[in-house]
Amino acid sequence: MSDELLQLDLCEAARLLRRREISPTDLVQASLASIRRHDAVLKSFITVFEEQAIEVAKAASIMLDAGHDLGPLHGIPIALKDNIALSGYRTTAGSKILADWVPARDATVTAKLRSAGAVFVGKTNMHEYAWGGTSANPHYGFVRNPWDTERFPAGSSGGSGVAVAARFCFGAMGTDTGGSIRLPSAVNGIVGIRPTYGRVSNYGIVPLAWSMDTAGPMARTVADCALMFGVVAGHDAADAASAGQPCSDYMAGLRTGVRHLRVGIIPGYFFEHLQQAVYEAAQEALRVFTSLGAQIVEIDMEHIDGNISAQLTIEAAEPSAYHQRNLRERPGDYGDDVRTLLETGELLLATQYIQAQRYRALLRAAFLDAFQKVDVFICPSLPFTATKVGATTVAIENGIEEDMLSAIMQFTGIASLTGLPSLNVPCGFDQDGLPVGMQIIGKPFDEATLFRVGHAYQGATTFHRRTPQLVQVG
Amino acid sequence: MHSSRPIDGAYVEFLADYAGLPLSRMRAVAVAAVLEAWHPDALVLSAKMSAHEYAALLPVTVFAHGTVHQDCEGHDL
Repeated sequence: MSDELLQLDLCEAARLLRRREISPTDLVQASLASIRRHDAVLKSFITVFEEQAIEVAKAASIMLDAGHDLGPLHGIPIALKDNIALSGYRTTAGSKILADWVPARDATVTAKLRSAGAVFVGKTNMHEYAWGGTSANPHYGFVRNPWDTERFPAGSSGGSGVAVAARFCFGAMGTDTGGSIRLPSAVNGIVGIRPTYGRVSNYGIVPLAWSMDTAGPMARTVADCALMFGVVAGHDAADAASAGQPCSDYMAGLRTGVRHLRVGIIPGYFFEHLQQAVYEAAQEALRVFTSLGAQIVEIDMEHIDGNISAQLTIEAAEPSAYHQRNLRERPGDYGDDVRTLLETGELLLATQYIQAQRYRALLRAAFLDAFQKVDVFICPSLPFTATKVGATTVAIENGIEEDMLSAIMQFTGIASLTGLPSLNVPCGFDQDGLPVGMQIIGKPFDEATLFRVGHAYQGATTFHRRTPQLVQVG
Repeated sequence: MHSSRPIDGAYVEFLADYAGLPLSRMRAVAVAAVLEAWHPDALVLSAKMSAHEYAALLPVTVFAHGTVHQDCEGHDL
């Protein structure tokens, strides 16, 4: 019974809770039992709230029975990436330096999820300080992909991606600077959204690169993701970069379909230099959209080359400013890869950083101009499927090994630099049964359209219904 | 734009000293490998962005969203 409960998606579980066919305690017990059985291998959690989550679930059950419904996530097991503050519980950011940090206050997204009734089952493992895309964490263990435990889960929100894909919880929060929500969503076969920059508060989240940092939900379906997004989105006076744009009802327009939607593609960038299985899955996704009544429009995007250098410069310089003191006082407490990147960021030129920030304005203007011709862009989320755990290079074409960091962020970095929202949706599997993901990139603050497009796609496909076979331990 | 000398451990040690960052030779060599991979593209991007046609272009900052005027449900603040 408990495993069957975990096969429900979030929206289904919420419906059954309200009909009293299941209870929050049932869900949380099932969630914790599955984590106990399987996470010793996957290492998707840094902290699991065994007793606390049960107590909160019991209270949630009593409240529901008494007619008190806290909100759309009442009684739902949810996980938080471990760089998101949870009052009274350690928040490590995947680091040794913050191993014993216990925040006094919730992050804004934590508080919003809690107010909507979420039951936190744990804090998820991640790439140290979110500065990397593999989630090979030297302090809390290398996170492993549930579709093949010899493969990586991508990152930096690798633990959140795995926890959702493995059905340990019904949704999880991640953070995304250069692709850290979309990459693990793609590689683990789930849905995840990087919101428009400023749409979701970063207050209480350990920063990586201030000018690109975002937080967003990861879930099994687009509808689940939209439901969580409606909870966490909105202005927050505590975050200086928070946007004062009104939010939509993200569930209301889900079933509107994509007839006459103009889908932009950029063949000269997103459909070159990628593994064959990824190319074929993306092409097939475009055929699905055409069959649903959408129109494909090819766009020649000016200025798109140069984006990787801009990303690396900004994503190196800003963390190095944040970590400047610790890098001098506790350098040995960083993992080797993150330490090298932080040291590198100290040596970049100020002019290079500023030119990279000016390049972002140029690229953003080019995209905003293109949005006069299209409603969304569609492209693969990354050019390859999951590589071996611990790999620092990847072969994309012709067996030529490339640096992992540059290779992994080349498709996700576009939305990161331009501040545009981007939703990852599963769109296929490769010959080894590893998931492939696509991005749907939209106009600023138009997350509702991304959810509508993604939901229409999931109505016509079944990739999101597949479940990995988990390895049992103990 | 181009730099004329290779980025090696000794070069990075010099730069790190200028930045007030103590680096052993072993660390400097590791950083040099990354800098050497990134630096040419950064120079290309700087050359592009220093063109006269972009003279009026402002860098992206976190202050770009302007004044808050409505809450999440569209009510005036």
